Amino acid sequence: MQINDYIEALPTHRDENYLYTDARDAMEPVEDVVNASIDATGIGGSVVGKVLNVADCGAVESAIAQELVNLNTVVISDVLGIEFNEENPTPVEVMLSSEGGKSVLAQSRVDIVATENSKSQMIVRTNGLKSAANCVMSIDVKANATLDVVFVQTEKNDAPVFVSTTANVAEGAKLSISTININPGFVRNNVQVNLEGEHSHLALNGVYEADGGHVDNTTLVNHLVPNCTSEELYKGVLNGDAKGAFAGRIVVAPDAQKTSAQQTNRNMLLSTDAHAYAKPQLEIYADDVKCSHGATSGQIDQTQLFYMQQRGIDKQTAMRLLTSAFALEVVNKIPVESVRNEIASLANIE
Amino acid sequence: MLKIENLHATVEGKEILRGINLEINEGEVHAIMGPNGSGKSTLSAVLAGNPAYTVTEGKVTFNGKDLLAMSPEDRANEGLFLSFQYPVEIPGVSMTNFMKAALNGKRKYQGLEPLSASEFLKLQREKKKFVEINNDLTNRSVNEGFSGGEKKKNEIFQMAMLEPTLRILDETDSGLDIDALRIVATGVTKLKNEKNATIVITHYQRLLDYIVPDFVHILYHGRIVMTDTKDLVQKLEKDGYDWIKEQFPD
Repeated sequence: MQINDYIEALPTHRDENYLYTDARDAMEPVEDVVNASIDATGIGGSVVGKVLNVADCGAVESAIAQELVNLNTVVISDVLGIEFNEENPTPVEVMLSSEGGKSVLAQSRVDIVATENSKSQMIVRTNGLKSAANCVMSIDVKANATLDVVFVQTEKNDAPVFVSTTANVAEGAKLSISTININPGFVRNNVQVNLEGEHSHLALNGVYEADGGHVDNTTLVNHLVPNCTSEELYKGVLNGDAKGAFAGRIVVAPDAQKTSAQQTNRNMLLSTDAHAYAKPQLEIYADDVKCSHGATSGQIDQTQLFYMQQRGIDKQTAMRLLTSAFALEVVNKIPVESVRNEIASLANIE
Repeated sequence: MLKIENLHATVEGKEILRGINLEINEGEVHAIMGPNGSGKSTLSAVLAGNPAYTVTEGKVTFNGKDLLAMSPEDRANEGLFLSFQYPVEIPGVSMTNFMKAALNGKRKYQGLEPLSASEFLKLQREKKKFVEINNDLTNRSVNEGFSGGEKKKNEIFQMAMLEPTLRILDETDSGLDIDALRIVATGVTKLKNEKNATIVITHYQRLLDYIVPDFVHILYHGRIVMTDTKDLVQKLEKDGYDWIKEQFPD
C-alpha cells in the first residue's frame, strides 16, 4: 500500500468514532510525510531512554484510532522508548516539534513502560508542532506502578494535530492521563485504556479552552477484569465559533464485576456560535458494577457576572475569573505540580 | 450626589417602578420602606445596572454623570455599592482574587496603579476588623458555604474595602440573628462619614435603630408615596402598611 492509500483509509464523518472530526478531510492533501522531532529531558538514572526500530516494537492496537496508528507505523522508522524504573521525583518532559505547515504530515511514536512498583510522571508538549501531525503513544503500566502522563498544548497549532494513545494497565497499577488544550487550532485526542489487571485505577482528566478552533476528545475505557476503577472528567470553555466534542465510551466486560466507572463532561459556551457535542456511551456486560455518566452544557451564570461587575470588576475580567473557576475542578486534578501551576497561573489576577 | 427623576422600569415586561423621584446628598441616610412587591429591590437593582431590568423612562444623575448610561462596573467604580439581599456564591473564585480584581478595577478607573500584594494584605487585615470577619472566610471561595450572617458580614467587609460614596443596603437585615445584625449594622455606621450617603431598604425597624435615617420614604406600587422623618418608622412598626394601601388605592 502506498502512503496515500493509508491516508485515503482514514476515517471520515461517516465513521461512528469520527462523527465530529473528519480525519481524512483534515489531513488531505499531504505533499510530504516526515518524522517529527522529539526532544526529551529528564532521561537518565533509573529512567532509560532508547531509540528503537519500529519493527522491534509491538503493534499498537486501538479500537478508536487504528487507521491513524497504521499510517504512523508505515511511515515511522524510529520509536522513542522510555522505561521508568523505581521512583522518579522529576517528570520526564517530551517535546514534539515539526515544520512545514498543513501540507506536511509529521509522525511520531513514543513507547512508555512503567516497570513494576515504579512511580513516575511525564509531560508531553505539542506546542512545537507546526505541521499536520499524527502522534502515537503506547503506554504499558506494569503491576503496582504509578504513572501520570500530561499532554499540554497552550499555543495554537495551525495544522491538524492527532494524538492517539493506547495504554494497558496491570494489576494494582495506577495511571492518569491529563489532556490540556488551551487555544487549540485543530486537535483530536484519542485515548484508549485497557484495565487488564485487577485493582488497577485510571483517571482521565481533560480541560480545553477554545476561542474558535476545533478540539475533540475521544476516549475508550475497557474494564476487562473485576475490581477496577476509572474516573473521567473533561471540561471545556468554548468561545467564538469553537467546536468542542467529547465522545467517551466505557465497556465493562462480562467478568469485570465490582467495576466502578465514572464519566463527566461539562461545557461552558460563551458565544452563540460555539458548539459542544457530547457522546457518552456505557456498555455494561457485568451485573455488579457502579457506572455513571453525565454531560452538560451551560453559559456563564448571569447573577455571578453581575455580582462581580457590581464590585467594579470589568466584564472581561469577571468572565475570565468565572471560566477559570469552571475549569479549576479539572486543573486541580492534574497530578504534575509544575503543569498544574502553569495552567492555573494562566487565570491569575495580577 | 444622586438625583432620580421620574424613573420607570420593567422586568420581564411588567412595570415595577412607575415614576420614582428622589434626591440624595452627601452625608444623608435614607430609609426606603414598603410592603412586599412595592419595588424596593427593583430600585436598587436598577441603580446598580442589573441587566435583568429595563429602564423605560426617566433620568438618574450620579456625581453629575448619567448613571443609566454607565456599565455596572463603571457605576461601582464611580462609588455606587449594592449590598445584595442574596449575596451570590462563586465557587472556584477565591475571596482574595475577587477582592483584588475589584479593588484594582476601581484603581484602574481612577488612573491609579494596582496595589502590591503586601499593600493589599495590609488593607484587608485592617478592614476585616469592621465586621469581625475571620481569616477562614477570606481564604475561601466567594460566599461559598457561608452562613446567612457570614454572607452579610462579607458584604460589609467588601464595602469597607471599596469605600463607596453611595451605599445601598438591600434588606441587609433579612436572615440575620441579633448578634450578626448588630455587627453588620455597627460596621455600616462606623464606615459612615460626611462624604458618603446611605440608602437602607428594609421592612423592619430593627436595622434603623442602628443606622438612623434622616429621611424615611414609603415606596408603594412603584412610587414614593410618602416621605417623612424617622418617626414614620415607629408608625409603620405599630400600624403596618394597611393605612398606606387604603390611602393610596391603585
